[in-house]
Amino acid sequence: MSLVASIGAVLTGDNLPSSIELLPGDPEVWLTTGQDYLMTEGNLGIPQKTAHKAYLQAVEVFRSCPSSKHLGTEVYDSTDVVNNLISSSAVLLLVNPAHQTALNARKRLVIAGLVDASLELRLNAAFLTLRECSKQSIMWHHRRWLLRRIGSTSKMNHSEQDEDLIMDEDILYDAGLPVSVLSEELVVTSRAAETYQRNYFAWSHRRRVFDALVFLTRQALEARSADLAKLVTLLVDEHASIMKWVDLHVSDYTAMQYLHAIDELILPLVTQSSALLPRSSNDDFEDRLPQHIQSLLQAYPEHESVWMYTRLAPPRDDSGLPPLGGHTTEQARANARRFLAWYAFRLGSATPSITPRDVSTTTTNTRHVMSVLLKSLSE
Amino acid sequence: MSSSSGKPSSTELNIPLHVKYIQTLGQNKDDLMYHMTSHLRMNAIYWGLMALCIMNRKDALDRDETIEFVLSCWDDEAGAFGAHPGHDAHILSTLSAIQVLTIHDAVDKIDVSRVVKFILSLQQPSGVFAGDSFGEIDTRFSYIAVQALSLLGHLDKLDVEKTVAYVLKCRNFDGGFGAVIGAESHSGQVFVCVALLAILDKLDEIDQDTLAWWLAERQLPNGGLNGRPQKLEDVCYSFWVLSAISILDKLTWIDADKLAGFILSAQDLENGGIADRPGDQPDVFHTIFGVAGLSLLGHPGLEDVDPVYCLPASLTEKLGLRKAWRALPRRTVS
Repeated sequence: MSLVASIGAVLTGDNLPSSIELLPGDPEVWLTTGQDYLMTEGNLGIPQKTAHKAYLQAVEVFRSCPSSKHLGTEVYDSTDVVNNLISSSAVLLLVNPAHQTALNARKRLVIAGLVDASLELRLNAAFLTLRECSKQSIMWHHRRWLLRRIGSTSKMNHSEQDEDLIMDEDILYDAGLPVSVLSEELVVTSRAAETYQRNYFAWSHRRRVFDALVFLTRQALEARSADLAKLVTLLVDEHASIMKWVDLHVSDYTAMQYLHAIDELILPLVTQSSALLPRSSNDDFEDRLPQHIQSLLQAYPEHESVWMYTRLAPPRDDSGLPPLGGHTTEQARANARRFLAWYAFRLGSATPSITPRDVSTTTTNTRHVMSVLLKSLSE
Repeated sequence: MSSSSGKPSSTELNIPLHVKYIQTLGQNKDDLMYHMTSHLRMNAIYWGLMALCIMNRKDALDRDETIEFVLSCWDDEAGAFGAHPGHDAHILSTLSAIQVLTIHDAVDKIDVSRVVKFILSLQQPSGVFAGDSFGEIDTRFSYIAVQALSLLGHLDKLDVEKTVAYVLKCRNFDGGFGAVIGAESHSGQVFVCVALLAILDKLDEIDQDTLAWWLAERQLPNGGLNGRPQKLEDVCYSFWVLSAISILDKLTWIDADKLAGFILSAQDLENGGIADRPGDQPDVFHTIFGVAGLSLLGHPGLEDVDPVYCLPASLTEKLGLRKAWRALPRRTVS
């Protein structure tokens, strides 16, 4: 069996891996004769050199297939050619997840009914455990494309109150996806965020999944459904879980912005369904984020991210300003100066000519600028 | 910052070496890397050619061969260009094709009306553009559509209000822009949104000072620029951030000397090309954006770059497309 066929086979069918790793070093270190890959408990391991060899073969196989645009026509009449397309496109994406044309072939295979959409979603989840793959916007879009195909096509009614949800063509809340599917999406994005921190497209995907959960919850609220308590609890648990994530990844400003966005979406739902929820658990919900911000700022003032986090919910007057003096490290002091300058800029109390540069180092000019800023804020 | 590899840091741009680097790209067709980058070959042709233009060596790649390659990527079913022969059409490769042909004054070789039709067909009801018929949306694609229509002289066909409306929805509290609604501010996305608004004369719709603050904060102590808060510096942001800030006419908010020093220290002085940061492997992507950044900073011996289009300023001026922007004055070699 050719390399493309053997690796293609493990990426096809319903016994798909749940995670994939490209292994460093020589293939002989990992494999016995005749083996092209390792598969243990759903974890697929392929030596990098083997994968690269397979890639070069897949380029030729893919090129020998007619364009996937012709799937479903007489051009694609033999199962051999279809299988070649299926294997080669999978191998191409494994090694080069940015290969747009190979991914288009996958979509056309799904449309033609030659690859099952749910299985393709599982394969995509396995690909997303690879670092390079998890960074590709097209892989995340592919996921939502598949989810919309799997979901129901009937459009949901949304009301005026849903205008705070993201409204464009790449949404999930009108696909009728059940909670179980959406919860699985949260798991997939968590894995990707662990694999590659600050993962731009993973967090953007997560936000759209969350919007869908909010939409379901609002529907349950309106219908006074028995599911309401469960749904609100899910939202609150997500909030707590991301708050914990931020505690463990204090430079993850992307997660902080996500947390702030969902905080605003959750609060009204917690308030409106408070009669149904255990009293103690959500009374203090609106204080959680401000307290979190305060505690991180006190613990990690050397991190630029926690000062940026503070900007998301800045104090309304200077009585709530974070402690700006007394920081011991130069980095913390620089961050504090920067925050003060930004804060004054936002209040409009500094002259427009103060820029981040003016407060970045401890020069005479900086000291002068700082005294001007402090004076202007106390007026 | 001294380079960890021990190589002497340079205060000069080694133009002949980088020209040679670009000329030898793609010569090794047996290379794994060559095949791993086919999906962006058209973009790479534009990056290489534009870098040469900035270094005033447009002649260093054969014009006819280049045009022939571009035309071989025509996807006749879609009416647009793919990244490589046999690859599906996409808005990304279509713009690069138009840019390359515009530089070589060969746009007459393509079916402009079909390309315009392809581009316009990608606008979504929300106002954003998709990359192709499968529907991935991103403000990058909106910018690409606007630039492409502008270069082809068909900007009048664009629904400007709808296009701008989506971009404005991508504006975050910090004044920056993301790829889609709800996505965090990112230097690359800021560039495309600002440049789009510049082409459409809609820059007055945004809070320019707040955005300039966000952009200026991208500069790190070593002089390099990053893409988001608390991320590493990267030479390509020298262009994304610098061009956005020069469109906003706030270049003085960046420490130009430090940035230039950072870019120059990322040169590979053995094999040519510029890397994302000192000591790393160079590639054509970081080469063009490093050189473009240096040009905006007034580095001597380079041609002017139009930051809105990332095309030679002389070209956009000739086409009547120049917008208000300010780069640093070109220094002469002492």
